[in-house]
Amino acid sequence: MAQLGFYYDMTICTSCKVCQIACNDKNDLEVGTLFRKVHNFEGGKFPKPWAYNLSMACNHCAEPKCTKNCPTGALYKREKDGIVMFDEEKCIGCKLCTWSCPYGAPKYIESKGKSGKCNFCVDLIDAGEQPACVDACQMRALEFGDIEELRKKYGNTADIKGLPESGITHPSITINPNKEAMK
Amino acid sequence: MFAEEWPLMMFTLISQLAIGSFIMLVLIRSMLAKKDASSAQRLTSFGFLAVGPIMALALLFSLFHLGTPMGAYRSILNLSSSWLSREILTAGLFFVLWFATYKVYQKENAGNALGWITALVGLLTIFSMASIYSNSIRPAWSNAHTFIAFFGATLVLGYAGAAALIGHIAKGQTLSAEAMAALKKVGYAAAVALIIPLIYLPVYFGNLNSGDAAAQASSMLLSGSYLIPLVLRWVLSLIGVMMLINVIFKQSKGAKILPANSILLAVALILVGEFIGRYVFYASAVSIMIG
Ligand code: SF4
Ligand code: SF4
Repeated sequence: MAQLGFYYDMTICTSCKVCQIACNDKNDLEVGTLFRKVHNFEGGKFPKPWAYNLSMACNHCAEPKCTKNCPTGALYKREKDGIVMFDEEKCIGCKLCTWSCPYGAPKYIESKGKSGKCNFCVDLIDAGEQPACVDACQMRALEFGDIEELRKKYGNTADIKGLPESGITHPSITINPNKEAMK
Repeated sequence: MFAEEWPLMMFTLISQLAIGSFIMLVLIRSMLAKKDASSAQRLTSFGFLAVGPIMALALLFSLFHLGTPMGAYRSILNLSSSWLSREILTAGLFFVLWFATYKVYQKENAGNALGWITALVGLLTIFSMASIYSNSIRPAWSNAHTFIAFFGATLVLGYAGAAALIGHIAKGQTLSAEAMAALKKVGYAAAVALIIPLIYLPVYFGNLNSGDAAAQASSMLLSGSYLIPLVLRWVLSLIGVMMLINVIFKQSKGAKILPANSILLAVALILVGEFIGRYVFYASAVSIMIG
C-alpha cells in the first residue's frame, strides 16, 4: 500500500497562513474550527530570541489512533493511498477521535453534532490536482506526495520540539526544521 | 473544555454504581445461599430489581454525550479495535443479562451461576471503559491508574449501593447472623478496593512527574488547583466506608438491625467522595497535542 504524506519546510515558511485560509475555504469551516493550523513557537531572550512556525493538518498516519478508537468506522484508512478518510454519515459525535489524535487534527463541530478533519482534499487528488493548502502556499513550503519519495528527497524528520513523539502514530509527514526546533 | 464531559462523567459513575451493586448483591446472595436461602432472596430481590433502572439511567446519560444520539446504534460497528464499541456492547449485554438474572432470581432456589456470568460481563464493561481512557493521548489517563481507579470505584460504589438497597428492604427487621456476616465480608472487600487506589496514588504521581510535559502539567494540577478536591475526596470516601463498616460491625454483635439514617449518611459520603474523585479525574487530564 502506498502512503501519501506531506513535506513542510519550516525554514521558508513566513507564517502568512494562506494554507490555513485555503483549507478553511475548501472545507467551508466555521470560524474557530481549523483543519490546518499554523502554530507559532517562540522563546529565548534578547539578544538571542528565536521563533519558528509549524503548519499542521492531519498527518494521515501509518498507525493512526483515531481510526483504531473510532467506534463507528467513520474514520478509516483508504487502501490505495493510505489517506485517513472521514465518513460524516457514520460519525455519531462521540468525540473520541479528539481524545485519540496526538496532533489535534480531528475537530468536533458543535453545530453538526459530528467531528470533521482534513481528508487530504481527496476529491482534488482523485481529479489529479493538488490539495488546497499545497496549492495555495506561495513559498512552496508545503508539498505532498508518496511519503517514501518525500523522505528520500528531504530526509525523515517527524520529531521536532513542540510535537508529540512520532512513535505514537507514525505520521506521514517530514519536516525541514529550523535549528531551534530540532530535537 | 470540561463542561461538555458531564454526561460522560455521570455515565461512568452511575454504570459503575449499577455494576458494582450487582456484583455485591451476587456475592451476598452466594454467601447466604446455603446457610440462609430465604434471607438471601428476601434481602437482595429489591436490589436486583433496582440495578436495571440504575443502569438504564447510566446508558441514557451516555446518549447525551453524543453529538448525534440517533446514531448511537452505530457505536458498536468497530468492535475489532475500538474499546468504545466494546464498552457499549458489554454494557448492553449486562443490561440484558441483568433482566434475565432478575427474573430467574425471583425463585429462592435458583443457582448463582447466571448472576456470576452477568457480574463477569459487568467487569468486562468496566475493563472496556477503563481501556477507552487508557488509550487516549492524555497521560493522566493512559496508565494503570485508570484501571485501578475504575475497578476500585466499582466495588466501593457497589458496597454503598448494596448497603442502601438492602437497608431499604430490611428496614426495622432483625437480620440473621449469617446475613450480618455476609454484609461484614463485602465491607472488607470494599475497604480493600478503596485502599489500593490510595496506596497507588504516590506511584501515579511519580509516573506523571517523570513523564512528558502534559503528564507533568496534570501532576501540577493535581497538587495545585485540584489538591483540595483530591484531599476532600479521600477524606469523604474513607469516612464513608469506615462508617458503613463500623455500623454493620456493631449491629452484627448487637441488635442486627440496619439503622437507616447512619447507613444513608455513610452512603451519601461515599457517593460524594467518588463524585469528586471522578471530577478531578476528568479535570486534571491534559492532552499531549499541540494547541
Ligand atoms: S494525524 Fe491524527 S487524525 Fe490524522 S491520521 Fe494521525 S491520528 Fe488520525
Ligand atoms: S466523533 Fe465521529 S469520527 Fe470521531 S471517534 Fe466518534 S464517531 Fe468516530
